[in-house]
Amino acid sequence: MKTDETLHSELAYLILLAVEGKINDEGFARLNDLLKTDPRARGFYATILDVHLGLEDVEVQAHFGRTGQAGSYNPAVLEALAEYEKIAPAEPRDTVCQSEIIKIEKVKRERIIPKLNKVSLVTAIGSLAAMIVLLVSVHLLPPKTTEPIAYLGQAVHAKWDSERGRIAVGDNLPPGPMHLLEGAAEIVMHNGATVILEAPIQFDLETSSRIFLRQGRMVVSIKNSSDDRFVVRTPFSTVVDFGTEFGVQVNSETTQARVFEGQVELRSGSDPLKYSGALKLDSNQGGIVNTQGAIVMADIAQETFLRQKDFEILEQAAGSQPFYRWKAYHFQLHRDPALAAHYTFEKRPGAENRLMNAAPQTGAVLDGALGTYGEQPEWVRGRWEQKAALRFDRSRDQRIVVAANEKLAISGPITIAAWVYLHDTDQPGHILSCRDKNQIHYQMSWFGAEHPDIARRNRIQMLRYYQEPTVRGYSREIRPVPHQWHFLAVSHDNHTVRFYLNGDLICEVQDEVRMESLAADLVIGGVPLSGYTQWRFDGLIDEIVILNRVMNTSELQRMYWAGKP
Amino acid sequence: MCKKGNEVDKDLHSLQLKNFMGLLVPHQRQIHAFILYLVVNRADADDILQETLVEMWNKFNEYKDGTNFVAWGLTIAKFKVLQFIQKSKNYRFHFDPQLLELLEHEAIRKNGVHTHNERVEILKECVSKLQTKEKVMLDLRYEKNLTFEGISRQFGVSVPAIYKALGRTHARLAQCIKLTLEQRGVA
Repeated sequence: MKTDETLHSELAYLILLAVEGKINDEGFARLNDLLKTDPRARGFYATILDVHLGLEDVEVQAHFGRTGQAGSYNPAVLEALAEYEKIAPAEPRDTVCQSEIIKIEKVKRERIIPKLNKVSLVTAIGSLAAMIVLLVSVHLLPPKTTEPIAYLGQAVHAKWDSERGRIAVGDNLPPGPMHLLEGAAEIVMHNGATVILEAPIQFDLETSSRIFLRQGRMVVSIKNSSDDRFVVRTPFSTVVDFGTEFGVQVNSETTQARVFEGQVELRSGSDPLKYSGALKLDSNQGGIVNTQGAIVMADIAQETFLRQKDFEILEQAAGSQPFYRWKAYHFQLHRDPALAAHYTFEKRPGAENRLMNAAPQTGAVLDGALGTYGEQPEWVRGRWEQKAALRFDRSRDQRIVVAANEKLAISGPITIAAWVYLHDTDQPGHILSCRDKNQIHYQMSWFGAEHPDIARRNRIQMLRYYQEPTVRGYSREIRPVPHQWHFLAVSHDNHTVRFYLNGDLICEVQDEVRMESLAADLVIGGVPLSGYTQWRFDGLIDEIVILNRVMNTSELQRMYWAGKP
Repeated sequence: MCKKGNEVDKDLHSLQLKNFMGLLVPHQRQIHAFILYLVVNRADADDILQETLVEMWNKFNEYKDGTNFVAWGLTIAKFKVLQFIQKSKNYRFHFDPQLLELLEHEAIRKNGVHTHNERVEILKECVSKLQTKEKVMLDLRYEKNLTFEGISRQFGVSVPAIYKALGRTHARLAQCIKLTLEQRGVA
């Protein structure tokens, strides 16, 4: 009988060949024989196979030690290994498993392809989706190297976790985990792709063309074509680029992908090569993969992601340019699902007769039309030279009209904010109104010292009522200051109206209102009623924001500081 | 709010899948190992595992809560192994039925004695005890996924020499595991 050691060596060698599919007839017969006749061999056989499976476990691999990139091993180690092969003691003759006896040969296998019922196949593929996630995760083992595969291109207020320490712009980045705690950053991969990161985000750089996104969102842009497909893996999906710009967002439940340009393939499972389902996404299409591997098309707002152009705005904002600070704030505002309308008063060439709504959820359907009633208000310089404002002249009828839309028929909680400016002789008045005669969804005004009604002079008005006129909804007295930009805001939770000036809460009044929804135009610079000429707005309006929720003081302060000229 | 029939079906499906995954995840490696014991070829074992998991999911309605999920899974796995052998009867490298039975007993005996996690823990200890050159070899093969041909090129030695060296390392690891289990009185 063989000694244990001899038996183990022979078995381990035969099993290795068999596991790898490289065993020949003679070797397999020998293995079969050993296992059949020797109980010790069967016990050892199972343990050896446990070793095979165990060595594929990443926890075990962590104990291999960091040996560097393939091809860059310490020459002394290589030499030692080669030397070891030369001086290794010869196996005893009776062990059989010498390479000269059992030749390694490539065995051509006859694969039997079972006939499948198509329905069962489809069902099986669907059912497999979740399981594949588990199966493939074992196989995908990113190569490890300490060589840089990317560098930090740009950063805006970026704060990284302590694991990597401080990372400066231009620093080389080797593979490994990264965690951006605050701010935004751009990474340039060595294959030419740029990746915009928005905090908080956790990811692993795997290769120069592959990233594992654990949580957060990023935008990948591949301008220079490369033979390598860029791949973003996530815990339960893979996004494979086909030459494009795309965003990927991961949370605990889904992976979302949106294509801005070009095409990507969204695959279930985190192994780009083994997947149970896939969906091609073209420009402006989005898709979602859930933890079970199910893939569906989905509308994903482009504002979800910070793109290259947005990143540039952030950079300029960081450079203390107020206009870009204001633009950078929009990334946050436009992700607010309660944002009903956002009129930025930016003049668009070729669309001078339109007041554009920048709120992504409502978009162009809530654009306003200039000159609906009479003349167009005049485009003038706004808070900064990069943007415009509209000058309303009370002596002319210059109201802007946004056609009635259910998105603006807000009867519940609401916040309205506006930037206004007055010259010496200007008199403020109705800023905006959404009403149908005596049914008023909301009406925001600021009346000046010359208002006909003494009780309303120098007060901000937030009027909401249904049928029954009210005298509630007025702030304490606030005198407009000429030649200054004023940030006015009002909120109403159907019980209390709060008035803000330049981000500060100046007063609140009780005003219980129960509204019914109605279809009414939104009018800017006046009210949708004839007459009331002395109530029209007289001055500059630069921005209007409407949300169907109540913003708190700190949110309105943030909006003020973001937009302060 | 009342749910429509297809919504109820969807909810049930999600719940069932969640239950299934909850039972499968901790035991999937055990099922995988069992299949590998019976067929020894890794590629075959992977194929059979996938078929087994699909079958388990399709028959999950028949699984009774509270009964031994692993035993139920292994029964299906064994059936799939036999089906595979029958389908590919021209393929030479199958153990004969008598040996299959012996191996199945050995696999079930081992599963009853210690868990996969215990084996992984012990394997980690054993790997730590290896010499650097052995760890280099394992790293190239299992972490960096190099082929044997690739490793042989790296080291400038023949492919059979790599098989021999890796086989010896496996044997050392298996002996180390066996010894550790014996010392713990669970072998």
